[in-house]
Amino acid sequence: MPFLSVPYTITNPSAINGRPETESITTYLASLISSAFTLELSQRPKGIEKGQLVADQKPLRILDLCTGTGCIPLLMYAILYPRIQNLRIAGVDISPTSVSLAKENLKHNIKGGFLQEKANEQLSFYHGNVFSDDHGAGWANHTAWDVLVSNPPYISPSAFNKTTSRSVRNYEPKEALVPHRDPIDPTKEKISEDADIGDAFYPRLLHIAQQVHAKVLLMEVADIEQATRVVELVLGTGRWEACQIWRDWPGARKEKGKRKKEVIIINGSITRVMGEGNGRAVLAWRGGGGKMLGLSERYRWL
Amino acid sequence: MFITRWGGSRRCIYASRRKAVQAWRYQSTTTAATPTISPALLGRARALAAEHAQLSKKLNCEYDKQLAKQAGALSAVAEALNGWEAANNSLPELQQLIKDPSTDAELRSLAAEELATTSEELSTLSKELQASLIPQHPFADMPCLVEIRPGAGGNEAALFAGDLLRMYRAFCKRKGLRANLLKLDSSASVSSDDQIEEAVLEIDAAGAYDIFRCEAGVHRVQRVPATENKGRTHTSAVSVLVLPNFPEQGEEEMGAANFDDPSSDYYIDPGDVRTDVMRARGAGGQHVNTTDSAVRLTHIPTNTVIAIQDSRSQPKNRAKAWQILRAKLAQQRRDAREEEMAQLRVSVIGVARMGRGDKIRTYNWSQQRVTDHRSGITLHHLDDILEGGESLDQVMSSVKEWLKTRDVESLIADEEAERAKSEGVARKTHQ
Repeated sequence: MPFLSVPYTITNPSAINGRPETESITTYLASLISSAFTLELSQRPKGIEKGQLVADQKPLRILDLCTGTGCIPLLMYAILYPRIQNLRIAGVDISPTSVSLAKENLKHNIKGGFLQEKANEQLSFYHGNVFSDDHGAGWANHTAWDVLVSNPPYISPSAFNKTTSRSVRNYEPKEALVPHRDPIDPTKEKISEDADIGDAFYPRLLHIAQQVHAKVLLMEVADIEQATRVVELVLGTGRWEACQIWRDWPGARKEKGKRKKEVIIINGSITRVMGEGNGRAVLAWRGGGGKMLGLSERYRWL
Repeated sequence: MFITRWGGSRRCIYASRRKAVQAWRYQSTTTAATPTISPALLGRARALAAEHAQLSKKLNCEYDKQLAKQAGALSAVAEALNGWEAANNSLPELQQLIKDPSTDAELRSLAAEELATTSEELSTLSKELQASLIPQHPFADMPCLVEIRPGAGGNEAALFAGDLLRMYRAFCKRKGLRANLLKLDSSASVSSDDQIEEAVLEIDAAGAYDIFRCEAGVHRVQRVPATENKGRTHTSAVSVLVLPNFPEQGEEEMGAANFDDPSSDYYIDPGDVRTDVMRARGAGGQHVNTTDSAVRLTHIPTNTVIAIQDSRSQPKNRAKAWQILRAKLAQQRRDAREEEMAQLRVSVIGVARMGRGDKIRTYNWSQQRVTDHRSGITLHHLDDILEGGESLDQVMSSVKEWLKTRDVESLIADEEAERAKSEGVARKTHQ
């Protein structure tokens, strides 16, 4: 599957193919961060050298949970590296084969000249279970991550049977699409609501975001209904400044005739819906996150 | 002593004449006696001022570059109208004061004085208002090219063409305008810039087109040429062409930065473009794993369609489609502009206008005079003019005045025609 500027990501039975929607939202997130950074550089106070500011910059840390083929970290790295050299990106997956696949993809792209040699040190993939508090080595060593991205399994069991295409049911690993009935203990058959199973990863992702002090959180979702539920979850924690829902093509202009600004009111707070297509992701930020995305200024006008 | 007395008496005459004018104004009660402005123009000025007010209101709420530009262009009209109306409104009040028998004599004389100055002011304000209504020439703030070509008159015309070239170069030097000689073809026999087949002078300063606009046309010369051995006076003609110089917009130097600049050929308003992603889309995301990614862009105003499916990455296809759409539209725009330029050239060069008859200005050596046939000005400082001196300024500004009055006349005619038309329509609908 070709991802923009990262032409080689191969896959194997343990990880799902990178989807164009994932590519789209990842590209959009990376371009927001990259242009906000450029803007900040251009607006630096007088007397401060650009190089000085870049050197003083703390590394930008991005963590991708449920990374699969590693396509999200590879793409983010490819887009961000030209502007922000001080990067640290990690991908985590529960499947050891996925982790080795992601590492292979990294090697491929460096060999193909699509990523810098430096990506070897700055990009890493770890084996780990998101639901286990014992994170082990690697990604958990860095207690702070600025950005947390995730494309977790989000299809509920009934939706898996009804709405997925046949090739997905037959050839994609179900583990990467549908959360376990009880992810903490897969052996326990806990009776849960269908939709709750589909949403199983999101509370946990919020918990981890809290632990790693993430300022920006982007989670892929199945549709606008799930997006609404996730926004409710995010706002329920009371720890995030604001949310946005992104459609498949968040950078696209609304079609003519539609309202330019689409908003949904969830739990009494206004949430903007960006772009065109199906509801695809939920973005949340706090602290310096809005500045990092170049959003805080814009949000004042909501 | 004699001179002083004479001067004194002139002052005296002037003063008494002025008194007479005032006396006449004492009796006048209508505003008709004051220099006034055509109602058609006044209507137009009011409409423009109203538009300006609306624009400023909008700008107060939300800043917009385009709107600000428009408002800036209209602000001169609004200001001139304000001044004119203030003066115009004070007239009847003053007249009332003078007419009123209960006004005491001192106040009356003060009012009369005030009335005189106000009506004087009003006439200058009317002129200003008229001038502000003339729409700016679309190329006025551009640099320009001046092309000089000899017309009827053979070698003598070529010689005079050389004189004109020297005149304009000297003029530019004095005015501090940067002039580059782009092209100079001398007559075959003598290779100097005395005899010119064709010369193109580039004046690389903003607004140069507006300065030189009045120079376009046939310049006639009457003199005994250096080539003449029997002492006869010849009449020859040289045509001068003034073209706006459009900035070069090579494809190579077009960067991404120019995409956001509305004046650039490469600018496309994203609102004009419809994007279709060719994919029967169901749930998408993890539910579906086909990666069809064709992108089709349609530029609605020109109905230009670009479809790209080369790459399997949709953003890549999208980027490529935009790039091609930009290039295609820029090409269309450039073609249209070149067509326009070609039209402009044809209209200026027109073969029939190259003769001696259709002249705009005559340079007469034996009388040492220069006459401009449009404004009717005649000056006897031939040498100073040919050296591009201040006398040339005088000639040029007189022509500009003439252009202005002609513009105002055509503006009034247009406005009246428009009004007649709309009234006709109104009457029709009324019936």
